[in-house]
Amino acid sequence: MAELFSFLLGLAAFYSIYQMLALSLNLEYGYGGLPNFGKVMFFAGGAFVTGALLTRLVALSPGAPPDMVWDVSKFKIYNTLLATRGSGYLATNPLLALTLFALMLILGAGVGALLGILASYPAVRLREDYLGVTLIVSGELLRIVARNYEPLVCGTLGVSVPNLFAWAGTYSELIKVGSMVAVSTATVLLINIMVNSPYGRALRAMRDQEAAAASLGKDVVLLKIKTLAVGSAIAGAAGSMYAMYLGAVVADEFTPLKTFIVWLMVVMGGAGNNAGACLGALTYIGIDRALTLFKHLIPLPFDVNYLYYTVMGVALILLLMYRPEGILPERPGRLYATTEISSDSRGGQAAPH
Amino acid sequence: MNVVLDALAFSNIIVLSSIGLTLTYITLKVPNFAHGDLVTIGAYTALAAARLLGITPYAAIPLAFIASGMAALASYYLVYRPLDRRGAGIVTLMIASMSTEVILRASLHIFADVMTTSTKSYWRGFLFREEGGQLTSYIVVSTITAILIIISLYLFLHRTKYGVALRAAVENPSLASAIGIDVDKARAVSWLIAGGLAGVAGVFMPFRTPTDPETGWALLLRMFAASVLGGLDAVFGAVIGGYVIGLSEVLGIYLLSGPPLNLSTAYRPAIPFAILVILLLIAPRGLSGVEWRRLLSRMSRGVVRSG
Amino acid sequence: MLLEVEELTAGYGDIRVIEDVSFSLGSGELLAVLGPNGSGKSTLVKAVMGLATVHSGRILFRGEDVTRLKPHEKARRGMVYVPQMNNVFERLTVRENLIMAGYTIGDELQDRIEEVLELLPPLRRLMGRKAWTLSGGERQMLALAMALVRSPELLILDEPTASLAPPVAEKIIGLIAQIRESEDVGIILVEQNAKLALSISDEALLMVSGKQVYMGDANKLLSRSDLSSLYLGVRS
Repeated sequence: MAELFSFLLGLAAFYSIYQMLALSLNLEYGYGGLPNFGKVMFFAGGAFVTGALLTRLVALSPGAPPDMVWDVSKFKIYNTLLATRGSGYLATNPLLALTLFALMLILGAGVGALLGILASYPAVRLREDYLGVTLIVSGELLRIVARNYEPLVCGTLGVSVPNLFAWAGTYSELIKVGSMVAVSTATVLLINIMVNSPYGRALRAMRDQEAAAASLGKDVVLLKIKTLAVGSAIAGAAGSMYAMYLGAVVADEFTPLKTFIVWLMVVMGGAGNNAGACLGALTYIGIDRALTLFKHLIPLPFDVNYLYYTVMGVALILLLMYRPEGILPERPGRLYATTEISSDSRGGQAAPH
Repeated sequence: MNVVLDALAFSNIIVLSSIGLTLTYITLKVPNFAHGDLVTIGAYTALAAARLLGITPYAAIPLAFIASGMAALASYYLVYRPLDRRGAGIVTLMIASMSTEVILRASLHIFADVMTTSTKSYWRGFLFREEGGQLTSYIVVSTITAILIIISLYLFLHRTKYGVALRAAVENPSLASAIGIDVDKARAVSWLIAGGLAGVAGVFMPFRTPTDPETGWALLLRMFAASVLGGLDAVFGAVIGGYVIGLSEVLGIYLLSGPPLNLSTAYRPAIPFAILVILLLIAPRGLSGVEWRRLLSRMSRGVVRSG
Repeated sequence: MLLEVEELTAGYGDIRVIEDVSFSLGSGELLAVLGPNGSGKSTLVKAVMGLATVHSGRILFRGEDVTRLKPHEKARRGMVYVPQMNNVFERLTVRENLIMAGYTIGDELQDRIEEVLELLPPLRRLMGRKAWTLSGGERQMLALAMALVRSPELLILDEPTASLAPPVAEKIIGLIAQIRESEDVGIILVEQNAKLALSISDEALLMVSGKQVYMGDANKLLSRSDLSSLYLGVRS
């Protein structure tokens, strides 16, 4: 029973993180037609800023020796100790802990948004293929910098992050995951409001009508920048949440495989349909968690995860061939009326030409 | 001097693999994210040949060509061609490319694990150590191989009717098929050659660095930088691009890691990355895409005006 | 008869672009297909070549019904089509382009290229140049040469003078006239510039909004003031 409960908690935690990632990609690609092949970069951005700051911030309060915090060579060794001490301190101060939780989410989102704006520079200038290459290698470079620049997240060793929910005692895990689900659900609502607003319609107009969108001129550029900023902010917040959930940040975890997984979720569920993206995330995470649980029962001479990735890769290719619209296809709605699209997205600004 | 030789050997690997990356890009306009894994397949083929057949890795070059070439050919026939026939767009092809990459790399991990358990020897982080202290023999062999391959590929593509037809077919498929060229076969041959060259590059990898299933993937950045530098649609541009990227990475980090900067050598990949980003921002179509004539005339006009 | 087209209705997919077009062409004859933009000129020749959907009607080539044949099967029978755009391999040299054009020809390819160069001598000094460096006129000349290498019996030229400067266009038209003289070939010439095309044609077909409004002697079309001033931009 307890095992089932902890399995469900883990499932809910990973699901709320990946739901945010899948929705952010769905916003960018499914609605806006912006193929973001560097998703992991924005996710990592949020995780790295949390890893770099949270333990240090908390360590300042209970009066840890300052050189342990600021001297990288010492912080590298003592960060786990500091994080544990921090957790203990925060156990007595729930208000501060929750404030830090919110602060980290905001910081993660901020770093994500910043990286998103940075990425929009090539995104408005390059063709999809060059853009894909640029984003995928940018993500890899961020990882390489993080694993070598130790002040950030202690290089290859990784950094520990204090538990912000230690104050809840035995319910710590439950409340932690509950907060994550709450944040993730809020994101779902936010994105649903966004895609049904004039902004969402402009976004689809940009995706569906390249030529018409081009005549909209400057608006399209701004729209792309905005979309990448918002999508990346969500991914950044998810990264921050991921760091706080796992209690550690290891740079080498943030490989392009994460990007692949998020794409898999969106394509499997149905691009351009938020329910589809959520379903895709649930399917993948469900199998992934179950595999982790039963891994030791499967007698294979190799890590079963590799087999899972192989199967998922094949599944994604087959989906692209036989059901490119995903399990839950995008609903064609009244939003497609061209007149509405053009009047909305032009927003009364100067006419083209 | 050793640094220069090492840079040369590294560049040979980049050149051999970037040629193929460019070649496959031309056929379907899709950046093949799995190209690095084809290099890894070549490396593992050489290892398997050395351990199981007891031959020297050099003798495994043809085997590596075949293994990686077949993997590339399979990805063309099983993934890209069916999608292309369904009228898939560039983003769909790129998602497929990413999926293929994941499949190949995960399969390589499985292979490495299975071989490690079944042969009771390590199949990860392996190196090819050369006997008799000929520390640089692989530098010589890789250079000669690279040169021979570049020359024969050039002769094939420009001096044989079939090679010219291949260029024709990838450039303008509809005109080529109207003339009677089998475009599909030409594309398949391009993928075979591209994969094969990546496999050959892979044979030289373990002479330099400990190789595992992630090694080729880590090379992808350099290959893209080299291909973009040479112009993603110019096969022999990749040769120049490869040498520029390879030499500037190895020599660049050698200089940067010494005084006065003392940078960690682990920042090596930042060099090709910086080149790639700068290139994409100033000349997104690569150096061959730059309108040199216009640029020169503008510059000379500037000189006249200022003088 | 080399080519007989009987009541051809064609278009793209379910859409009909041309209706009930009929004409015939003998070997050594030159037919000009004229008409305003969007009148279905290109669709007509594409339908003849098998590149557009034929809804009804028949196409006979040397008496054989070729209506349903695929483009490359028609090409093998000697029907050669030169599209308006993308009609040369840009990254190949002129020589390589000519060799490719004769891809399916065996040993006599070199001789055939030599014959074609006799006909189009300006190409001779361009043999080593990449096609993308050629001027518009030179490119059209190369496209023509590539078609001729294949010794066509029927040559279909889709607006070969489009986007060429007037003197260059005249030169290309002159070359087409010369080809008709020296080669035993029927030519269908789709042209915007009616006056230029009619100056070398035997017969003319005028298309307006997908329908055939005139088919007959080229010179007589010019004398039809109602048609020529309205649709051809020619003042008599």
